[in-house]
Amino acid sequence: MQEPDIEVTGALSDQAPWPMSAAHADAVILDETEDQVVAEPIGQWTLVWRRFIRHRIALIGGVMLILLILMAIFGPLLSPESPLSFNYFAGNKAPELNWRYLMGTDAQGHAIIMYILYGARISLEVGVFATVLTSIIGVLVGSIGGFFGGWVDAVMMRLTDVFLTLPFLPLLILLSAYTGGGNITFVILILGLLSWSPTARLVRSYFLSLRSQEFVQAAQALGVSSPRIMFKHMLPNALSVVIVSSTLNVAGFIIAEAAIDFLGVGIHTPNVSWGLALANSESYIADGNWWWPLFPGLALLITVLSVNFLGDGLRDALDVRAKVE
Amino acid sequence: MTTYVIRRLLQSFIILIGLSLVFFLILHLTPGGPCNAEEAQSAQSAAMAKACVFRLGLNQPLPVQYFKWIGGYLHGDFGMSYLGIPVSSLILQKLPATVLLMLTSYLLQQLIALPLGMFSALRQYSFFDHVFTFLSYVGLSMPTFWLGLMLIYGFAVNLNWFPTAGVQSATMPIFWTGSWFHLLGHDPALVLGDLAKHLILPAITLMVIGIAVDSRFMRASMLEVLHQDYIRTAKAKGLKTRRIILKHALRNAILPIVTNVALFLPALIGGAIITETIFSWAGLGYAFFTAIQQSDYPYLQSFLMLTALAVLLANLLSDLAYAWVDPRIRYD
Amino acid sequence: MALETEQAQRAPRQEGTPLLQVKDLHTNFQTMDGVVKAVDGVSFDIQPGASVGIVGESGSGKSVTSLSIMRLVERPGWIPSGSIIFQGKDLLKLDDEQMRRIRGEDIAMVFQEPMSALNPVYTVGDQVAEIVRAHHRVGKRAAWARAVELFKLVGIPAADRRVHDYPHNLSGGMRQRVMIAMALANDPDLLILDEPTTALDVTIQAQILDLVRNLRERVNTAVLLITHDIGVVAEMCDEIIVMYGGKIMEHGTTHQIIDDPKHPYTRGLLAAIPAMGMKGQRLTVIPGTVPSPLRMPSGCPFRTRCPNVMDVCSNYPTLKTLDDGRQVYCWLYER
Repeated sequence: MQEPDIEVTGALSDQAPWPMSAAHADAVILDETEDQVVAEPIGQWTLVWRRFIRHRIALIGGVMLILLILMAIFGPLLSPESPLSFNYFAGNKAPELNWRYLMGTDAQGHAIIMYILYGARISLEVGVFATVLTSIIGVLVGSIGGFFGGWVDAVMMRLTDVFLTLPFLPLLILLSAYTGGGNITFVILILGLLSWSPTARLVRSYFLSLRSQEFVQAAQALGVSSPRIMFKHMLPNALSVVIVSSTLNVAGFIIAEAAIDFLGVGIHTPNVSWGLALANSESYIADGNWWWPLFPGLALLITVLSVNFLGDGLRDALDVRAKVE
Repeated sequence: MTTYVIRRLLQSFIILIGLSLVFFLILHLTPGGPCNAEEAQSAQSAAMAKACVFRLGLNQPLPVQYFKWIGGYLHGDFGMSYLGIPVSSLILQKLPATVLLMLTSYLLQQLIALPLGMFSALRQYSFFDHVFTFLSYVGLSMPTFWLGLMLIYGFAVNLNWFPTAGVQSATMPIFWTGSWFHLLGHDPALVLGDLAKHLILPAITLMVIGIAVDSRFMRASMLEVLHQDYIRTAKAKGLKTRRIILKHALRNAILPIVTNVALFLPALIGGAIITETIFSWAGLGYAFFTAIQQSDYPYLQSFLMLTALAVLLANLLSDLAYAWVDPRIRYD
Repeated sequence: MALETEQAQRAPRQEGTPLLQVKDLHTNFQTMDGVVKAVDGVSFDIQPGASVGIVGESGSGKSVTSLSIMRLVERPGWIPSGSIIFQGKDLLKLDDEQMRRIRGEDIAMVFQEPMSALNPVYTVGDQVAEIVRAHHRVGKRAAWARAVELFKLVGIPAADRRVHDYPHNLSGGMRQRVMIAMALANDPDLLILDEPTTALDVTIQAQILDLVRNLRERVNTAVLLITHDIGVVAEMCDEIIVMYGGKIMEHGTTHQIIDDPKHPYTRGLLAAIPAMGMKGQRLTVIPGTVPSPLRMPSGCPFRTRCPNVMDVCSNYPTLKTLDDGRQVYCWLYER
């Protein structure tokens, strides 16, 4: 059989009758259809990457997050002052075009920009480490329950049910108030211990469906050990679900940590966090210094927004919705 | 159906017992406590602390304390708040303000979110849809407490349109005490107006995230339904667009939202604590926050138990509601 | 195949004004990797009361053709050119309200998947009564009475009780009967059946086909049957259109197509059907697979799999009318 000449479709006259961005959002991704003849096979991660970089919002989120991470690392070097410095004479100054006073100062004369640059670290640390902890517990509980089934699963799931019903924010506030607050490790531990149950459920349901699939049964028949099947064969398949739910956890944890700082039961001075900056501003709100609460809050909003952008992009790129159903 | 409900209630009861243990242990094993403040400062205060421990029964073994507490619940006795009044009266006193705030904000949230999500889905990829999507991301990422702070700054402090705190002005009669007699002789428009003025900012603060979550959910649900075969059938039948959307699409799109109602309750309770604290709204959440500072264990335990109970019941109700609106679902 | 002589002799191009004239229809789909021409210049007529079948593999454009006639092609698809003239009006030029009045009233359609094509949250009676009320000023009660009548017509037992059932209460075959009842509600002039039996069991399939055949004798409606099963069209239709790669390969009477196929693709399709008394013989299959819609070869789309391929095939042939009145899209019959 001779090789067919390839006709180039998509000439200008054949353009879809709506704007191109919309056309692409609508368009069908053909390389997923089975009977497709593709010149070279596309790897799964290549496909994920292609979908991700097409997702404009996700790219914006990713880039902003990289900038925020750089800020968390190098922020203290850029800061015009350290959290310990005092300058009572320059208190309550409105923003002006000057590095130190760019975002104004608080009642004690601390530059607001110092809060922004130093606070990034705590927010990102809590977000990332609490998420890692949540994911580890969730994956362990979920995969053990889903893999072994039977009474093991029943025990794991009742435990998950109890944790799922725990009132998250009330307990978070209570626990951080009574464990002395101020200690970021405690905050991370509390967040992780309180929030693993949705991940566990997700992983479990995914493992349950995977368990009945042929490649797992084949591995079992070949005598591969259980932990090896679970973590070598099944977990990589469940990974995309975990990645997406983890990203959304990061956003929630950043807000939660800032909330307890704001309520005064989290990190204390001389540590610096965005939530703490907001808390301090509350007593002075009648003074009209809008810049004090504005910038730390904006920093929080932008950080969480970037994480959510990224999470949505990952969800689309990894095609998680289709997989869970 | 009845057996299903009974089974679910039993399950909820068991979870509740498990939760009571978790709450009890958390409260009694964490450092600090109601008598702690006085401790170790001087010999005199050490003696006071001892008296305090004795008075509150904290010297008894933990299992005894636990069963006393849980046994009280079974008799409808929530214990004595360290404020000196029964926890049940304290809760009844604070409940109306919280219910008012949550209900108002939740109803407004749905009234805004559902049409917004539906409209956005119907105009997918339009300018409106893009603006909606961006704003919904912002709403989703909003730190509630910061929003409340900025609202206070803008509308209460700066513009002076609304009060900065409280449920009612001091001159007004309390809007709900279980009877209406004390309201006689007051102009209802004045009382309600004052209440509404206090309510607006906290309600907005509480509902912003909810609007974002629910409208996005509605949009996604609507989009999914619009791509279903039965919508194509409805079009092929020559039905009017309005009928296709309002009858065939909307009913199906709203089904998953029904379960969402219950799932949102925990977030609403969490949000209420923060919102009530920012606005000094004299409800259960604000009382919870002050109770933490005073280590008022009986109140804290009761609050946590009530919250858990509400969440469990809401889950059950939403499952039942789901069976009621979707003819495909039957429980037996 | 046993065909009534009267049917077999009917030529595809009859005298008189056709009910439906599809002229040079194009339907495109936007994909991430470019534009797919799902329907690429299709033309055919349907006479009043006639029955025409479109056969083709998945991706041949047969379903998209039927959706285009109903103007139900949605993003990412669109119709760049062509005309669909129904009872003298070009459907592609009507406004939405005019088109709405035609759907379900003059042209009705039955879809492939009877489970998902019915709305799960409304009773089947409601969904049938609704189509009556969408086009006629009748009361609720009259519409429901009509629904019961239609249920009886399509052979649903205990019709007066079944109308109160939800789709999930009914079997696949019953659901498809409901779909047919719905389509017949307003005595349409054209009934489009898009793979009506594909999702059903073989025995149920036969029942539904029987039903359609019987109904055609009682209700005078033209039928356009879309299927991948050439055996089904041979049984059901007077005329057959064979589609491949978005184009018509061959169009003729059932007699012409079945007994004397001209196009190599039609021949391949027919050779792939197991016939009675073929025990022990191997079925012939068409070699290769349908090319990707994005990489359609230029010229005849079938040339990559055609046993009679020639050099000239990379140029586009024309849909040539042969002496017996049929049309073939193949270089073998040019000149």
